[in-house]
Amino acid sequence: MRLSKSHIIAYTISLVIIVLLAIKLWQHYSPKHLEKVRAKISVAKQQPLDIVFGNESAGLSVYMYASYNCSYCRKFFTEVLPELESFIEQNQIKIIMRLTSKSRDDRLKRALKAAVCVNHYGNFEHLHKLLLHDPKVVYTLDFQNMIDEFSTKDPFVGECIDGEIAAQHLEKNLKEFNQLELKGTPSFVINDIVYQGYREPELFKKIIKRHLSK
Amino acid sequence: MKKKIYLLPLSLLAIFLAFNWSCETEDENDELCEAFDGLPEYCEIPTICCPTDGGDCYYVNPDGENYYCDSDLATDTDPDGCAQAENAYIDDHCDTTAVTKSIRAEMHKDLSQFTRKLMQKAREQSVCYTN
Repeated sequence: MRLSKSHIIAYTISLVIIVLLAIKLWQHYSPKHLEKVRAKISVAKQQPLDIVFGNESAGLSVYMYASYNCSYCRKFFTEVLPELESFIEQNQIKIIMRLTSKSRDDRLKRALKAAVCVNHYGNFEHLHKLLLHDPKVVYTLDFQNMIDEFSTKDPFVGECIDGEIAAQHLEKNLKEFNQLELKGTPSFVINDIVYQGYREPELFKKIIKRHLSK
Repeated sequence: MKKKIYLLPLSLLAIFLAFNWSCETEDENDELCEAFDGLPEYCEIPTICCPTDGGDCYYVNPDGENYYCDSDLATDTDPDGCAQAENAYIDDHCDTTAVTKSIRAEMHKDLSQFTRKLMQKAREQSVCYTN
């Protein structure tokens, strides 16, 4: 049976549309968590100045490259992290936050140094809450005065903030971020698999479960 | 018969367009909303949202249109230009019949002092703090 020209055109168009439809369906239903991107480098294991949510001894490390100025990073802490509490309490995972900023603003740089130093030597909880609530607060004189107070109250914190250690830590974070060829924050690396961008709590839990089941 | 053969691609195209149109996901709102506490009882607790794309912050109005701040009116003490929006919110959602000028001023303070409260806690409890 020979097909007429009309048939050939109709079938060709149909085929193209079917392919487009299939692509669209795949895009729509394929869960983001199945997108696997292997990290360009192996991330450095937990560092002394890393900000860790969870127990040091937890089995699975979730490396998070984040900035308080990024709304989806804050959203992770307000919406996703609470949903991961059960994993953290059971010592299954820990979130290692690596503060990442390309800003040259001295006030922001100092605030980030204060964050890692307070986390290391003091109680980071309230500073973390403050930065989540209003990241712009770092540009105020009050905030800078508060950092001065930290330095005065605790010489270790002062030395950490004004010395090289915190600055080097932040530079290392940024270098790693660049080497991983990450495009923005938040980005996560779990078992050398990169997950760029924010994911809803349920999807993030699925990712965690999948890594824990390995 | 020749015309009928085009029904197949046409119907497929219709399905494709319908799927494409109906499954389009809305952009997520990139903003952070925060409910403030510590307000007097006669004032409903407001929620303020600040879009991170540089748009004006606004107080959420549960009963209708939100109260938008105006960054053009920003001052050192009101960095987001929210004074007018705060006033409008207080007028509509606080029992202002019995509110004196000083209480009204207090409300403004409460609205903008949430950050200060957090900073005070951070100041007191971040280093060398013992329970």
